[in-house]
Amino acid sequence: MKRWGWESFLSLFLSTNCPLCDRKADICLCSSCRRQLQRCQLPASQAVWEDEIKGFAWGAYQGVLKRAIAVLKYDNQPQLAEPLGQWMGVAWLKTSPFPPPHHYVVVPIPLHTQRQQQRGFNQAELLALSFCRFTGLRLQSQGLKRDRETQAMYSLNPEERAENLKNAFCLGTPFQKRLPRSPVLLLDDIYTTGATIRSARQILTQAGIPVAGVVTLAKTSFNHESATNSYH
Amino acid sequence: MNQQGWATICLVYGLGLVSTGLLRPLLPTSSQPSVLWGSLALIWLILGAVGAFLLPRVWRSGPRWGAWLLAGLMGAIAVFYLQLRTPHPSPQDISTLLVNPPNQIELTGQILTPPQPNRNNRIRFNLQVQQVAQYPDLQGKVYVTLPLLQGTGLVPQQTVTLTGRIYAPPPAQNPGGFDFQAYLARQGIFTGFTGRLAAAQGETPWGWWQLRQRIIRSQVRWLGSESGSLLSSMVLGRRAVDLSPALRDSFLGVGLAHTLAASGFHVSLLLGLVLVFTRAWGAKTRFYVGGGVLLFYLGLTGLQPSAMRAVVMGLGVLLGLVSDRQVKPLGLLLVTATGLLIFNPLWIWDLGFQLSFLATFGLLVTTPAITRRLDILPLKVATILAVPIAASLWTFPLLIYQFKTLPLYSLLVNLTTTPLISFISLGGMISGALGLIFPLLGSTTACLLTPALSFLIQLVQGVLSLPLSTWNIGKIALWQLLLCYGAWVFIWCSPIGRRRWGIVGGSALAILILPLWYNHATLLQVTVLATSPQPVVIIQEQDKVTLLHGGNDNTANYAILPFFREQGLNHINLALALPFNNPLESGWTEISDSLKVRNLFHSSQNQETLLEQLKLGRFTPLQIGQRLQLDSLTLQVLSLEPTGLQFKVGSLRWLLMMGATDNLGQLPESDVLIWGDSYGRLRQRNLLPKVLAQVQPKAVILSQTFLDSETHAQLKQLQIPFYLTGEVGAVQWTPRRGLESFVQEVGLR
Repeated sequence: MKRWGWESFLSLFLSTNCPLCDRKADICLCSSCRRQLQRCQLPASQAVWEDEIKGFAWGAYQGVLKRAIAVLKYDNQPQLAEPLGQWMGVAWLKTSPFPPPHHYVVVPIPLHTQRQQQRGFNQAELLALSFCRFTGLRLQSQGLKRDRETQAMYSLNPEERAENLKNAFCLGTPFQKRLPRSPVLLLDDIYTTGATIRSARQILTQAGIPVAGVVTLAKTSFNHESATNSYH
Repeated sequence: MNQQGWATICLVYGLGLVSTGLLRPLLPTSSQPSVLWGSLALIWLILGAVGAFLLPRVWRSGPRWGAWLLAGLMGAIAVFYLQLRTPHPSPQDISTLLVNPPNQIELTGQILTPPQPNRNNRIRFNLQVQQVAQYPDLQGKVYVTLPLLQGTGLVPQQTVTLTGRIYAPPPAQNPGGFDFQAYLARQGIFTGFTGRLAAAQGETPWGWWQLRQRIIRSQVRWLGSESGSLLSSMVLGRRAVDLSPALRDSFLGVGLAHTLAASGFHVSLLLGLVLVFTRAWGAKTRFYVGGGVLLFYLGLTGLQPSAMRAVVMGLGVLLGLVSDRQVKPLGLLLVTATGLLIFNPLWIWDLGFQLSFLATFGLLVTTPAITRRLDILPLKVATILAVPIAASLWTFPLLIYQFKTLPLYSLLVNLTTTPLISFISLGGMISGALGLIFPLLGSTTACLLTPALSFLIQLVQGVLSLPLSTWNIGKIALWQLLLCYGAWVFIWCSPIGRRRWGIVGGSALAILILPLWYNHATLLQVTVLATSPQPVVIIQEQDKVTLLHGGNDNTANYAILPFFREQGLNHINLALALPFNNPLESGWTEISDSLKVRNLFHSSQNQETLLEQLKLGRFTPLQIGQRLQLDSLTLQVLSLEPTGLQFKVGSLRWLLMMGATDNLGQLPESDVLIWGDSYGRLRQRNLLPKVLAQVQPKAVILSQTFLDSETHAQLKQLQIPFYLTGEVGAVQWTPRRGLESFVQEVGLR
């Protein structure tokens, strides 16, 4: 966090380079990448879906957005989470997919401690931080805990994914001590098959915590599952 | 914390310092100043808390609540920090002697500032007192003036022993006058000293002055002292060079003051040269070489705010270079300002600091907009024109606030001389650098600039002699200034402001001008300036101005002209040369240089040729008993020897007497008596009981510093209120408020 403060102080008078194209950036992103990213936003009609759980996604998991998420996660560019989370917030407030009252507690999908230490941050948590700042919703980043190290999922099919995630989560300490009074909104970076979300929801509902839905940055269309990714 | 958070904190720190300006009028009369400081700091904390509560809801993508809270805390810290750094006389300060000053005192101390000649051709400098003979405990700083011949050759850091007397620096005595007391107090100086060297000058210590002197000497060698020191000032800034006060004032007068300051132009030139020559080297080496050159230049110029701003910003550019990142100029300006204000928070009230930052800010935000509007011109030409326009737009309101005048041709002069001045500065920098190595080479290079320099000097003198070259605007209030800058910022950042810039800018100008205009249209006012021994009286009725007595050139320059500037007056309808026995004092030369004198009345017999040389309009000799009329004002000459004059403003009768003789005739009854002194033969200077008995004044204004006990007792006995201008400053009468003295009025405010 300290490193961040210094870096943002320097960026007061020294321009940063856009993490996506390496050209001069205004704030975090260059104007061209910003435009391209914003074009990935889903129209309001497609942003909200009703699976077995009500969901909201900001954009389609393809093109620049896909690359941006990869850069954020694997290229160590946590500052990308700030504009992305903010855009999620803007769109969420505009579409307002969930019924009032809007007193949700936002719980990001956690990483396993080891993974988080490796990466230095949890992208879902950073997105949630920026999202909550903009929407004014309450954030509980320790609501869930990842118990078990799971395999990275981009190479797995839906069944394997579900199996992989079985009992992966448990309640975090704050929720063990006291249950939240408001329904929970789960937040993750990508929604693919919903396996992660289902697993997380199961834990929460078992504990008697209502889950209102899920907010994600990007959502894949179920039809093209060719989830090969060049960013390892 | 994110970038916006940092920006907010920096900005609020600056605003916190600025907000202490609100306390300035309250502090002198407050019995508990710490309560005032404390409440201002508390206001910042409350603002921070309210901001933390409200702003994140409204401005969702803005700084977080924590940043707002921190910003509020920063505002409070800024207030306390400024208060902490504001100099106060310590119990051991030498100013404690001023209560009962000894006739002669001997000081030993170290010279702090480069000794320079003042307008009276004495050498002035600040001295850190180390030892006071007979007062072993005392120390502090004093402002020293020495005779020219004794002071030349003194250098900063040198230790000297002086003998002479100490005095209290005078506060402003007249409206618009210079507050020397406050000016010195800001530098931690509460005592003035005038005297001579007690012992021969000791050894001169090493220092930057040697390098400075090497450059100046090499440039002056063949250029002569005027052009040479002008060139050196354009390279090193005027504070590092003994530029003649007359030449300096001419440059200030036409709005070219910025050319005599070390600033961004010089630094970017240096940086450009360094970067070109070090192209082949690694980024780190370039950073260190560039940084070294810039700091060396800063050493040569001294720690002046404008030079420091430029150098720090230059270092920022270098930092960007070494980290392979481009510089965001506005952010860099903000960080630099904050850094310098942490280094010295008192600079927030330093005009050089304010102008330097405003001009740079103006360049950054307004130049592109102006360039766009000049799109019929080639881009290069449009940019060259846009730069001075942008800088002027952002500095002229502050200049009016500070000097109450507007150099009318400033923009035109700047537009036409920019290429010339860049050329001279460039040549001067090269000559200076060469002069450091081979003085003769520096002199030769400087010599090549002779035609350019003499053309520039002549141009400046020519512009100064144009009518209204400095146009007196009048005093504007702080709120007017702030509203004006508010309008500028609105034009800069709001789309509405940008679209309607004409209307917004026009209303800002109206805010500046209209109150002054309204004031002139309704004015009726008589002012007796604090000038001893002869009073100067100015009668204003709407825009008709009468001046009685022109004084000598000191009176004109330090009392009369500042008053006309503050009132925004550029003409005199009716002028009387007093006292009648010595009517043409040097003051009229100064006055006629800057004001239009329409009618001058005098009593001199054979000085018409002299009068013709002055730009004085019509001039008419006066006789005893002559009456003059200007609207509702009537003047009557009662006697020429001694000078006696009665005038009526509205229904109020005034009598102006300069001394009295025994064979004085009957004086008319008057409401206010102005009593002064005259030159020449032995004359009765003290106010006579006879005069009081005849005139039966309701109030007396005495142009004196001391009052003899006899007259004092007499006035007390007759219960006539009196004003001693040497004590209470100028005295002003208006129909609404009656008689008021300037110093007390200031004190009460």
